[in-house]
This record gives sequence, C-alpha cells and structure tokens, in this order.
Amino acid sequence: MTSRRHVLAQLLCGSAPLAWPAAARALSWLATPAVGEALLVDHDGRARHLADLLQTPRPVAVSFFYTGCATVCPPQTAVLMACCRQWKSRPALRELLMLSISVDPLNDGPSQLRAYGQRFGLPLGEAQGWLLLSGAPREVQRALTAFDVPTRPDAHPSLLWLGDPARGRWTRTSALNPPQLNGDLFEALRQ
Amino acid sequence: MNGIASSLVTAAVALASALMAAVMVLCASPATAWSAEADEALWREGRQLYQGQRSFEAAPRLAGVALPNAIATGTATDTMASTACHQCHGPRGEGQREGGVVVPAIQWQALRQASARQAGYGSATDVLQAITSGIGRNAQPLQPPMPQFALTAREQQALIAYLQVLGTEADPVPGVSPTQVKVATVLPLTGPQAAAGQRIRDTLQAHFAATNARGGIFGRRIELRVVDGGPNAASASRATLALLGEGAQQPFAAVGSLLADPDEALRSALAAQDLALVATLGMPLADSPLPQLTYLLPSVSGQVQLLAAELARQCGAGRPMLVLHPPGAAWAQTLGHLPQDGHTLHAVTNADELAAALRAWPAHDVVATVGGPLLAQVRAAARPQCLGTLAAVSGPAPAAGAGAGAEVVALPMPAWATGAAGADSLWTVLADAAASVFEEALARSGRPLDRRRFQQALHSLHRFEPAPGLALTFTPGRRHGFDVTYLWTENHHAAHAH
Repeated sequence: MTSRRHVLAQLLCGSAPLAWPAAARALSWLATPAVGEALLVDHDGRARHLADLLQTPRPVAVSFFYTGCATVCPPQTAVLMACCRQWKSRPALRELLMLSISVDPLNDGPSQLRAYGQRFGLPLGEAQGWLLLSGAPREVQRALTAFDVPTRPDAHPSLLWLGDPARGRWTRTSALNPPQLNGDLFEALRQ
Repeated sequence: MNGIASSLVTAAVALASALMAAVMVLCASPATAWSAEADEALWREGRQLYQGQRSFEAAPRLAGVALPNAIATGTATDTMASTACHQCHGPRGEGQREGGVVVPAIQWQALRQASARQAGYGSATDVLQAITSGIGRNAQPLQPPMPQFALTAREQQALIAYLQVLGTEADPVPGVSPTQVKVATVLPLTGPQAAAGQRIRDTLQAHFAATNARGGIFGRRIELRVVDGGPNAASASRATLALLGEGAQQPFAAVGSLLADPDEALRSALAAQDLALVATLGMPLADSPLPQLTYLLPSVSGQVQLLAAELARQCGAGRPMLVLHPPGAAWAQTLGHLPQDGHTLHAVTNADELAAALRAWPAHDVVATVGGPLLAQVRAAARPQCLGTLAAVSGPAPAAGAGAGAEVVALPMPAWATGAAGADSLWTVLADAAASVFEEALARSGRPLDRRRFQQALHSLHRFEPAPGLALTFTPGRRHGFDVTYLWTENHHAAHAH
C-alpha cells in the first residue's frame, strides 16, 4: 500500500506540474471546511444544504468550474471523469461523491448545469456519484469561501478537495494531477 | 550485470532512442523545414485541427488521461467539450487568461520572439516538441492544462503550416474584410409567413443602410444577404445549414433570422463551425443549447418556469401547481425540469381531457400553455385558484373579470412593445432591435474582429436599450435578450419584469 508520505512526495516532486502547490505542503490533514448554512441548488433545481451533503460516510471530492469556461474546465472535467472511473476499483473510494460547484452563479442555473453535464456525459445524480451545484450568489460565495476558492470566475484554480467527512479529514490537491496520484492520496486519507 | 552498469546501459539506450527520434523527425517531416510559404491546402487542414473541426488521430492526453477529441462522435456539442487548440489559445492564436491560467499567444511571430525571461522557439522542430512532449522554451515543462498530442507526420505538417499563417491576413475571418462585414438573415419570403419575413427584411435593410450611410462600424459597411428560409421550421433549418456549408465564403454572422428550434443537423453544424446566429427572432421551445445561437425572446420553457415562480409569488408559495400543455414528447421533455416541487405536468388534447384534469387536481393553481377553446374552458371553470398563461400561446390578457380567479399573463418582452403595436409593427420593433443588438456587439468588439471577440462583446450587453424601455441582456449563460414581464388581470397597473 502506498504510504501517505510517499504520496505527498510524489505530489511534490512528480512529473505532473502542480497548479496548487499548497496541496503538497499539507503534512497534516485539514478539518472539514466550515460551510455553515450554505444553501445550494443542484442540476435538477433541487435545494441542497452543502452541510447535509457533507454529512455522509462516503468519500467526497469537491471541485470548482463554470459552464462558460472554455480553457481549464473541459480538460479538468475529463480528468475528473477518469478519476471517477478509476477510483471505483479501489474499495475505499468506491462510493465516491463528486461535488462540482460553479464559481459563476450569476450565469449558471440548473438548466446550464444540466446542459454542461450532458455535454460531457457526466453520470449526474447522488446515486451515480456526481452533483453539479450552483445557487444564489451569496450562498455560493459562502461555499467557495469555505473551500478557499476565489469567487471571480476567471480566477478559479484547478483545486480539488478530497475528504472523509465522517472522520473530519480533508486535504486539497490539483484536479489536473493524474488520477492514479490523487487516488493514492485519497486512499491514504481514508486509511 | 550490476545495478550501476545496468542503469548506464538503460540511460544510453534511452539517449540513443531520443537522438534517433529527433533525427527521424528532422529527416522525415517536411514540417520541420522553415518555410514562409505554407501550402494552402495543408494549412487549411491544420486550421481544421486547430479549430476542432477535424479530430486528431490520437486523443490528446493530460495527466495520462485521454481527453475528448473534436467531433469524435458527431454529436451536436462535441467541439465545445473538446480540447481543440482554439478553445484556449483563441481563434486568432492571441492567447488569454482564464481560470487562473495564462494561455500564451501562439502566432508564429509570438512563438519565435524571445523575451527577457525566455528564448523564442528556434525551429519548427522545437515547436513540435512542445506540442508532443510538453517541453517548451528553455526546456521548461508547459503548464497544465496544455495536453500532449501524439501527432501523425501529416498532422505535424498541417499544424506547423497553419501556425505560420494563424492570426495573419492570410487567414482572414469569414465575412470580414477591412471595408465590410457580411451578414445574412434567413427569413420566410415564401409560404404563410412571407409577409412577416418581408417586413423583417425591409426593416433590417433600412437599419443597416442608415448605419452604412453614417460610415459603417469601424469603417466597415454591413452587407446584408437575405436568404429565403421557406415555409416552415424544417426549411428554415436547411437554409441556415446551407450558409454553414459555404466555408470561407460564409457570412460573419446571421442576424434577425426567423428560426425557432434548430433541427439536429443544424445544431451539429453550428457546434462545429461557430457561426453566430444573433438575435434570432423565433421563439424556441427550450433554451438555446449553444452559446452562439441567441434569441431576442425567451424560450417557452423559460417563460413557463418564470410564470410558475410568479404565480407562487402572487398567490402564495408552496401551493401545488398543474401545468397543462399540448400533447407531444417535445413539450413534456421541455417542461419536465420545472424546479418547484409539487408540480404536475399534464397533456390535454380536448375538452373532456381538460375537464377531467381540472377535476383530478381541484386544489391546484394552473399554468395553461394551451390556446383557443381549451383556454376559454380553463378560464370558465370558475376556479378560485390562480391561473397563469403565456401571451405567446394564449393571446393577450383577457378583460378583468373574465375568470373567477386571478390570472397572470407572461409576456416574452416588455409590455409596451406588444401593447400599441399590431402584429405587423411588432415585427418591425423586433427586427430593429435585432439589428441594433448586432451593431452594438460589433461596435464593442473593436476594430480587430473575430467571432470570439464578437461573442464576448455580445455577452457584455446588460440592459442595453435599442429603444427607450426596450432593455436586452445577454450573458454566456443567458441566450435570449428580453426579460419576461407579467400582467395581472386583477391589477392592470402591476406590470413588472423578472
């Protein structure tokens, strides 16, 4: 089994350039982000308390995107899809719940989120393991702030939070890292 | 063999392989020749690769993951999901900043130019190495999300040839020259809507003629070509599709066309070719699926959604709602995503079905997207609940007291535009607004004009008023200009926008 330190060393020194080097410096796990009462809306228009979504025994990954993004988001989404496929073979990650939060709530409503999901063929739904979330700007800002993400769409990083909410253990990394590498990190978090 | 010796042998083999590969590329690929005169057929092929109109033989890879390849499966939106070069580097290779990533300019001059921090690319081979291996200038790795491409020899030649003309006058934007911008409009000049088509045509021609008489926009005249879209939606889609088939002779954009929902063939072609259909005058059932397809009027689906929210606001939140609509899968699918819980969708075709529905859900407020006698039957049902209707489907608001309950009528544009104007002059108002939207976006694009700049400029129109009180807003996610407004029959003075 890959050790956590080994995974972190890989993240720090590996061939994949890190868009978010803070991930590699995290030598202790982070606590669950304080999302408070943030009330988001999913791709089906259903209201979702973010805190409720994080009250789960499932491993949770949180990423950030917006539907009008043409540069980082398409490849990032493709890499995250590969993560979802590959991580299903790991017992600790089989029940993965991916939450992708829009950083552009003014333009991203449920219909835009659904269209984005269809465009990329995402397996949307809680059972399928992927929710696209947006909401009122103030609520989305509350969520983004908890995850340390700038609220300007053109400044959002390729940040990926990985969490074991039941144990209150989280870390963050680059969503553009190889799925194998982030999978090892996620597995170490779940140990 | 001991470990050190083994490592040395491995390293030597790797070095020899790398050298061989480099020599093979230098010898085998004419793309590496430093040529100012690129073969046009070759660079046009490179442009198709650059713009996602042609798939790479092998999918590009990022972090070991194969990325969506352009038009690989032929669905309508593949190029938007793809990782074609122009998505990041821009249609003219100008680069951009988005998502915390600075995407460099890759016009040939920019690639060759040295800066204080880094050398320029010395040769086509160096550029190809960056594309294929991800190692750029000064032997530095390129930043994600730049993928690595396993290019065939032909793809290498084509891409290098295109990079040498990208962003130059040899690679003009379709429909744009220093002195004119060519646009088209697809209108029903024959068939039952011919009178509307002719009125729209006359209005657009007069509007652009006036602009040209003032010197055009940035010195460019607007040349309008009118295309007969025929008698129905299918023929209008076909006529628009034919425009897309004109290749380099395409207009820069289509303006004020009378087109409702594009058919599947047109959607696919639009997704692949990026031609903007600006301020289209039809009313689609569903919101536009493509950013370059914009309408003046909100979709039927969007109007129903807002109308339901307005009913809840006027009559009380949390009340159950019955949405009556004409039969057909398109309606059910279009209205199937109403966000509020407690909504019931029900198709009605005749008076008996309608009566049964009203009996089955007696306590529900009603949104009726039906017209004629069926609507009269709903109004006459003497229900105490609230009724919501769409002016576009059901006609104008009834006189106060026509129904027992309150009725909210949703209008797809500001109320005054529909009030004084008859049907004929309404087309004039709409066509004039479409021409104004196009010109405003053109003016905001600036003198260097390409389709992405134009799209971004269009998305900057916020409460733009082509005429006083006639406000339009477009954003990347909002692909219609007008807000929905409401008339409440129990209070004729309370018209307001959402």
